[in-house]
This record gives sequence, structure tokens and C-alpha cells, in this order.
Amino acid sequence: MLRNWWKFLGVLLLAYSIYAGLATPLAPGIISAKSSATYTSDSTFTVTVFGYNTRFQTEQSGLHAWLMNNDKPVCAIRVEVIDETHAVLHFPPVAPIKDPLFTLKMHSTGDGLLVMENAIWTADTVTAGLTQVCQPKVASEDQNYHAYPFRYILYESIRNLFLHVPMWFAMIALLSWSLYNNFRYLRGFNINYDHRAHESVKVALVFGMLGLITGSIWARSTWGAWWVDDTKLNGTAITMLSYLAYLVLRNSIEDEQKRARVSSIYSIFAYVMMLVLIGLLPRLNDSLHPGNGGNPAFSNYDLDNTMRPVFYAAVLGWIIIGIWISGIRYRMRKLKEAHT
Amino acid sequence: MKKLALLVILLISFTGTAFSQSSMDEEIFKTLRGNASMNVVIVVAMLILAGIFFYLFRLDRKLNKLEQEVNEGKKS
Amino acid sequence: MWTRQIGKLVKRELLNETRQQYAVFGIILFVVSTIFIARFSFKAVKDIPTWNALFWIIMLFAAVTGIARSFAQESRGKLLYLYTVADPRALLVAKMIYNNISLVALGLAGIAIYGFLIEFPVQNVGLYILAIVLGCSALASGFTMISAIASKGGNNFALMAILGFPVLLPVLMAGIRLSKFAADGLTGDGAWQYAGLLIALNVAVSALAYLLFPYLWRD
Repeated sequence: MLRNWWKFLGVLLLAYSIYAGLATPLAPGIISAKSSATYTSDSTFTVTVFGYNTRFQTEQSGLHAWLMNNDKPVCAIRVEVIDETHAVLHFPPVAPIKDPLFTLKMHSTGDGLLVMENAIWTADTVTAGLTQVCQPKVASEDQNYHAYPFRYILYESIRNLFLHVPMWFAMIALLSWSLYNNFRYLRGFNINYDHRAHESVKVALVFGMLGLITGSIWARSTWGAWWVDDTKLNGTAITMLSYLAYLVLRNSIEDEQKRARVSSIYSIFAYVMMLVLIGLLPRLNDSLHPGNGGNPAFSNYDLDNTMRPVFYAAVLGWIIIGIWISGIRYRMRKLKEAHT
Repeated sequence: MKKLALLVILLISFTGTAFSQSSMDEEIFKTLRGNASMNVVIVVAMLILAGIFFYLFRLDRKLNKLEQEVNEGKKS
Repeated sequence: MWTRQIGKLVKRELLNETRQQYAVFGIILFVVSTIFIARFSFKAVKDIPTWNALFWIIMLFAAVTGIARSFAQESRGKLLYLYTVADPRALLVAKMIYNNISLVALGLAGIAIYGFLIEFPVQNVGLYILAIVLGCSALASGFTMISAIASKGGNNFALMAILGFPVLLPVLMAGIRLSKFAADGLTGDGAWQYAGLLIALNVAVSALAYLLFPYLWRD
């Protein structure tokens, strides 16, 4: 039992990540805002707001709303709350200073600061100054609740971070494990290490397939296509092709030791090229994935402190499961070799 | 198969608690994003579980065959 | 000692090729006829990225067909003899040098024919030639090692393509990007980044091949 502690750890981590990943609510946010007027400088106008997970009614007393244009705020005269997720904001006439786009901000102590970038568009031409500038009363911008960040378009699918991304981490970890075993094989020509390397590549490909399929579905809902022309996506697809080639190469050599030697060498090549494809090329190119081509990385934007422990748990959990499965496959292989 | 069904039910019950707190009724949002893209999460989770379980079942079948071979080898 | 050995082995490769002239002509014919096929099927390639990618795809296939023979053409006995009289690594280095020279030459000849028969919409010719030299050189180094691997696994041409294409795709992509920069006449940091990447890939592939070859040549 004690020998298998890491398997229990893996299961626990995975259970935690699935539970926390699905049970933690999404932070409140603004889904849409509609302006009643095309021209906002002539007369007062209203903005109808639809929120998600918001508590407009409960927080009615402390609810403020204002529009931002070129860093200058214009406060709502009156906030008319319909229910928890609906509110109508009454604004004074206002002309834009710079772009004819306004960012909508709302604040209450319970929901914190809600921001919708470029929420309202006006047909008015840009003029010299805002007619009414105010100082919005914001006690604290801190959000004092435990929730995942609200992101436009992503919404709840931000939880896929705990499901889709760990597939790739598991694949890369298994391929690294395979690489380590390739080196161990080449040091002493012990065929067992080659078997380990082979089995972990097979499991890595399963995780890779799952990563591709889940990524494809997620891409359909956020980027609008099943397969986007993305460096990282193409890089992983090609990595999988090169490891499939590794399996083909293994099939084409009869002698066990020769097969192990030749395929280990090819596998080392494939691994180095994977590092270039997944690690280096996306940095030189634009990519839709976070952390590449000017997109913010996991560390500073997409992965906030609420998500980080869950994400790491999921990654570690799936890596352990992957190593576990490859270990089972290896033991089966040994059993088969011993009896045939 | 029973375990799988149980897990599916568990997952669905979790997701239920996750977004039952909000009442959304904006038509455009509903038609465009379903339930705030939660369906995407569920589909992805189901696919991963289905994939892993399918793989484990296949592994199990392989092991059965192997056990048979080993047993026959011992008898002869 | 080392350099003399390598020099002799490179000379041997050259002699081999001149003796089997049909092989050299075969590759050149392959490139020319592929370009003709492109000419007849496209008439004129107006789109520069397509024009550029088409050239690199032709070069990729030329590299596979040309270098596939590198290890496969030698008989087992001859290889064993070479390994006993010379350092196996020296043989690899010699083959790499030879393949580098021949593929770069083929690339330069190829772009001349390609530019003549289809069109040559390149603004920065110097950079384009640099891209071909760097790209073909990296492809040659990579495919030499792949050819050594493939020769152990049944020697067939399909295996060479299956093993080589995914692994050498980063090289091809960097080559396409760099030559695209040259065709558009852009010489910013982006172009030099890809030039650096090509050189780094070439060095990495060559170093890996050099380190791992001792495990490979034994039977």
C-alpha cells in the first residue's frame, strides 16, 4: 500500500481538480450592454445591462455605474435595477473625446468591479471634451469572493483549462519519461528500458489524441473553427506524427536490440524537434494560445490565484495517471516476453 | 460500465451546482453561447473520461488475453 | 589525421557519384521535371507565398530522393570495411559534408531553373540565396542522419519520408519564412531570427547525429 502512495496522490489530485474545477462559480461579469440612442450627445440615454452571476438586486444600494472614454469617467444619473442580472442605467448626454467607444464599469461591494471593454458605440463625432465628468465612488476594487475570472467569449469554458491543457502536459511528461528511458537504454543496452520508452510513447499518443479532440471542440466555441491555423496546434500535430513514425520505424526492424538502438536515436531526434516546434516556433510566430506572439501567458493573466492550484493539481494528477498506465503496459509487456 | 455511469452522474450534479446560482434570460446570449459555454466544458470532460476509459477497457481485454496465454503455457 | 580522413571520405563520395552519373542526372532531372509539372499545372504563380512554398516543397522531395541513397547505396560489406579502416563518425561527417554541398548546389540550380521557367518575384535576392543555402544545408544534415536511421529499417523510400518529414518540418518552416521575408524585401529582426534558427537547427541536428551515430552504425 505504502509503495503505491503516488498513485493515491494522483487520484486525489485529479479528484480535487475535477471537483474544484467544476464546483467553483464563475465571477460576476457583464455579458452585454445595449444603448438606447445612436447619438449620445443630444439627450439623456439609457443603457440596458445583462449580467452573469451578478447580484444587482441584493447590492442595489451600493451599485454604481459609469462610462469611460479616454480615461475620463461619466457617471450614471440613476441605476434602475430590474432583477439580479438586469439593470437599466440612465446617463446624461455625453460626447466622446477620442474614440467613439465607451468602456462600461459597474461597482458594488458584493460583486466588486465589473468591466466591459468597448461596451457602447456612439455615432457622434469626436469632440473636445466630455460634458459631465464625475468621480465614481469605489471603496475597494478587491473582489472578496472565491470564483474563476469572468472572460468575455470564454465564460464558463475557462474551466477547460483544467481538462484540455493537462492533456498536453501529460503527453510532454510521458515523452520526456520516454526520452529518459532512451538514454538509460543507450547507456547499458538493457532492453527493459527500451520497453518502458516504447510503452510511454504509446500512452503519450493517447493523451495527445485527447488533447487534439478536446482542443478542437474548445476552439470551435471560442475561435469559431474546428481547426485553426495556429503554430502551437500544428506543432503538436506534427510532434504526434513524428512519434507515429517512431512506431512505424519500430515495426520495420526485426532484431530486438537493433530495433531498440535505432528507434531510441530517432526518438531523441523527435524530442528535440518537438522542443523546437512547441517551445521555440510559437514564440517567433503569432499564436492564438496564451503566452505566444504578444498574447499574455498563463502566469500573469489567464491563470489567476484561484485557478492556479487547481490547474497544477490537474496537471500533476494527469501526469501521474499517464505514468501509471504506461507502467501497467510495461508490466504486461514483460509478462508477455517471459511467457513467449 | 456502472462506474462510468456513476461518474457521469456525479459530474453532471457538480455542474448543476456550478451555474444554478444565476438566472440568465438574455435571448441572444442563450442562443449564441448556450449556458455560458458550460456545455463545452461538459463535452470536453465527457470526451476525456470516455477516451481514458475506452483505453483502459482495451488494456483490460489485452490483459485477459495475456492471462489466458500464461495459464495455457503453465498447463502444457 | 581526422581532417585527412574526412577529406578522403568526401573525395570517395564524390568519386562514387561521378562513377554513377545516372544518379546525379536523375536528381537534376527530377527537379527539372517537377518544375515543368508546376509550370504546366500553374501556368503562372501570382501569389508569392504559394510560389515560395512550392519551391521549398520541390526542394524537400529532391532532398529525400537525393539523400535516401546516401547510406542505402553502400553494400553491407563495403560499409563494414569502411568502419574498420576509418572512424564511423568520420564517415558520417564526410557524408554530411558531401550532402550539404550537393543539396546546396541543387538548391541554387533549382531556384535558377524555377525562376527561369516560372517566375522570380524576389526583392532581396541576396537574402533569398542565403535562405536557400541555410535551409538546404540544414535539410541535408537532417536527412543524412535520417537516411542512416532508415537504412537500418528496411531501406525503403517510404520509411525515409515518414521519418524525415515530421522531424525536419521545423527546418522547412524556418526556410519558408526566411525566404518569404527575402521575397517581400523585408530585412528586419524577424528575418535574422529565422536565419539564426536555421543555423541553430543545423548545428543541433549535426551535433545530435555526431553524438548518436556510434550507437547506430553497429549491426
